[in-house]
Amino acid sequence: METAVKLGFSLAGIIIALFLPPYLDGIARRVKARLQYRRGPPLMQTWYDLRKLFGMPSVKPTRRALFTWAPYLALASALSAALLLPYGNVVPVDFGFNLVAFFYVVLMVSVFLMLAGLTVQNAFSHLGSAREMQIILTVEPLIAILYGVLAYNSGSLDLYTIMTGLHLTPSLVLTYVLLAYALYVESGFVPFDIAEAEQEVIGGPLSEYSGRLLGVFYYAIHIKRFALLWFFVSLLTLPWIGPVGTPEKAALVLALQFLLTIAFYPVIAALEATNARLRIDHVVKMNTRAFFAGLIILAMAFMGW
Amino acid sequence: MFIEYAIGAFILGGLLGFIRDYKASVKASSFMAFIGSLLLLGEVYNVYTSGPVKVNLYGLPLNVTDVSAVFLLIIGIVGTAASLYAINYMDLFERTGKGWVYAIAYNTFLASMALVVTVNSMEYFVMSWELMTLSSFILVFFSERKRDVNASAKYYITMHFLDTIPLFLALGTAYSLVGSFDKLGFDSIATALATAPTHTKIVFGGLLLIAFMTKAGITPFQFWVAETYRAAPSSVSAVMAGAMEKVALYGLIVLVWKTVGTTYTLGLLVALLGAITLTVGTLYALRETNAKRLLAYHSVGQMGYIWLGIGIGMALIPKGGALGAIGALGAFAGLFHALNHAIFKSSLFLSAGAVEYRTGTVDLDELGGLGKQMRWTALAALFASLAIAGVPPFNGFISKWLIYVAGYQSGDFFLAFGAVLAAFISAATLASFIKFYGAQFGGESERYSEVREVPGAMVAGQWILAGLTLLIGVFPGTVTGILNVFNAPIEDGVYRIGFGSVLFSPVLFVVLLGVLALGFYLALKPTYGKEAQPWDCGSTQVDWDDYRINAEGYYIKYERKIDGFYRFGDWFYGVGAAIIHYIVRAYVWMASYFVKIVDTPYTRVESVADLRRGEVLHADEEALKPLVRFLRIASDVLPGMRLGTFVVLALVVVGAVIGILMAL
Repeated sequence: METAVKLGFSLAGIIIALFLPPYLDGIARRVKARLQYRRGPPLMQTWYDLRKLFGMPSVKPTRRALFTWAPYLALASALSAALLLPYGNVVPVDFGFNLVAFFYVVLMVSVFLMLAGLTVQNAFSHLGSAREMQIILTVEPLIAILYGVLAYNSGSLDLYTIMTGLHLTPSLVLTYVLLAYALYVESGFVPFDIAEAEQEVIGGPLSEYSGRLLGVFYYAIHIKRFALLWFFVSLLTLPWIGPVGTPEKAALVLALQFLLTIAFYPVIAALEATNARLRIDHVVKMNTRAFFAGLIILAMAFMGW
Repeated sequence: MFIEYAIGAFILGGLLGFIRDYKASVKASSFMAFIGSLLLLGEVYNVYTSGPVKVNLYGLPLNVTDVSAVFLLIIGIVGTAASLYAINYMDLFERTGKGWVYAIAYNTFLASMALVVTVNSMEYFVMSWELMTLSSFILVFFSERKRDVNASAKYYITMHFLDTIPLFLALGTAYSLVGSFDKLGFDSIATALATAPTHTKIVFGGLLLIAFMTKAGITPFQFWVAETYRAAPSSVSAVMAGAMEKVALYGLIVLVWKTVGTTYTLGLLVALLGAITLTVGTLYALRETNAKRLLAYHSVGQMGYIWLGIGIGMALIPKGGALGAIGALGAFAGLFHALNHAIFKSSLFLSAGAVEYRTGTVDLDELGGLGKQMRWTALAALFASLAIAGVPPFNGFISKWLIYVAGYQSGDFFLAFGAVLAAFISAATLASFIKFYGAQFGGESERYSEVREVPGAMVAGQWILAGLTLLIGVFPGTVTGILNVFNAPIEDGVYRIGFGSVLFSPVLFVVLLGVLALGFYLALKPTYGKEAQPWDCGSTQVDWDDYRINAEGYYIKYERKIDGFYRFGDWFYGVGAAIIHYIVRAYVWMASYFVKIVDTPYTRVESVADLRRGEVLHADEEALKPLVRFLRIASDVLPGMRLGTFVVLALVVVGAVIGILMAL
């Protein structure tokens, strides 16, 4: 019975991680359209787009094997990260349920994206890769410091311990706020979509990709955004609902996670629709400030606030 | 027992250098160095299976402990790969024609490092240490280009002032404590120190700490590293970055930690030095555009990680209990990272050298598009780059991750902040190696379209190491048994590694990633339409090779934002350079009393350049000049003599000798 329940939740997790992300993008597109007094595409639209891309052959700008493999590796990394998160209270594939492992696996999506951009002889894709890296460079110290607060607050880097052992302090609340910001930047939503900036660097690392390979990359990016949001939602809910002992409660938790994820997306879409892309040096400046704010929060946490 | 054969192989390797032909001599001596390094690995296996051994090496007492075994493992792995690689790589320096110099210096270098980590007494330690410094110095200026000679001179002077002098002073202190040169074993020094006053301990520990910081390139003594590693031949840089820096770590563990003893404050000092070093070294590496200098600054940065881990151990182990366990984890992680760093950094140096071998440059701004021509080198460089950036499932991830775990869970603000810096710098490392890989192997270029892959031995040398980054990353259990000298309570089964409830299962991760990637690949098999050149906005004026960003441009915006940091660092460098400059002046002033410029008499010696310009005669040469002149004349005259004359002369000399003996 026990294993059957676990298997059920794992399966639910896999299905959510595989199929929900493009729908989330559909929601975002609809919300953006409504904000601009348009009717907007159907929720399935991102899926239709992906299916169309999957059906088209790719143009080949280079013979490097890495160019072909990078999208698949990025997609595999994104899905691995998503499967490392709790659905209800079950982690589908537990290869290391801790903050650092999760963070690095998410990072691998960007790593393969950048490497893919660098395999072709194209200044735009090189530029996009370098921009992606600069964003990671500025956001990672912030995330590192927030993880420090979480680890200190709960006494461990292990996510089970964090999700049962967090206690509410002012520093933790501030950590949530900054973490939301950091994960938003990491996802590359609009004011921070500098790497792929269509109008400036024609898609950045993706500029030489087309057809099926491009579809695979888009899919990977959607799953990565979903994983980061699901991570935040889990961190927001699981510590405060007490021990999850029964399958019924776990199902409720899963429903809560699911609904919150869907509820967050219109907010993200609204932010995207009302902002214009920042310049890379602006982002560097903002993130540096956020880093110092994080430092103060870490000091607060160590003082017990 | 293996270690005796290993030293024997190194000696034989040195002697083989006297083969006349340059190529034959470097090949034979590199091969013997390869055999010697393999034998060192045999010794590691021996110690691992049957415990520490005491060896009498031609009268020199060695004590191969479990800590020594870890460092012998590092020297063995790096030596094996680099020596195999050097068999072909050293052809690059044929015009210097000094095969025998390389043979002796390189083999001595490896042998002396093996001795440093195995001898059991202070005086032999200092002696082997000096031998190591001297032989590495000779290797650094091997190319004899002017810039390289300057770099090597700076290296040697730095080592002289910050390494040799403190070590000899420490040796003197040890002697005054123990009172006999025969009993300078590490344990007798420890016994003597236990009852010594605190300030003696501080002086002894402080001197040693300065010496080891300098050798490891810890801030503020990191200034010599970049130019030295750039100047040395790549196979030697690999050994210096991979193994020689770690020898300083051995000193820190065995002499400072185990002999002098540790406290929370000392541990915190070491950890903070590590945290500062990893930040400074890596951020300097970020803006480098010379491949070897970039790697050199990263070795500074990675040494910072290692010191942070060891520092956490030194700070927390004395506290005992749960904190002691976290401390042991930190120390274990530091040592693990030392091994991992040795592997991937040597691999990267070998890759940079392979590119240099084929293209003649290590300037990242000029390189590009080598991925297709040098496929195996590119893949090895990619593996090692991902490993140093800490991307799972490569070995760098495991050890970095354990350092974070120790730092974050230490419950100490400074140690946690060190871990935060380490996690941040991990991103900077990734950035730097995206650049390193992209600038050399990314894109395609016409300029280097004729370049071929390097010879087999060089590929093999790189792949021994690149393969190990993946092997150890997936199966850390293969080395944790040897590495866990601090008895850290880690879980290190075949499937997972970790501490307490924080676990990571590399095997499961690799299987998952592999299955998913392959599954998606098969489900959505790539279909290609036409082949087309990358899109260049329809321009007809773009030079194909320039249609990319050069290495300098990658992170220029970010570098400008942290300009203040660089300016402060450069000012610091300026101070260091000025100090070195005055030390050089002092040396020249001293030397002017012992050296005469012969070809233009009465020239005043004011700088090193003056000495290099003219033909010089040293004081000792001047004293022996008549003898030298006689020998020269003799050597001119002797070949002209016929056999008969020679026999008569010989008879006369023998007769004279007998006559003198009889008269006496």
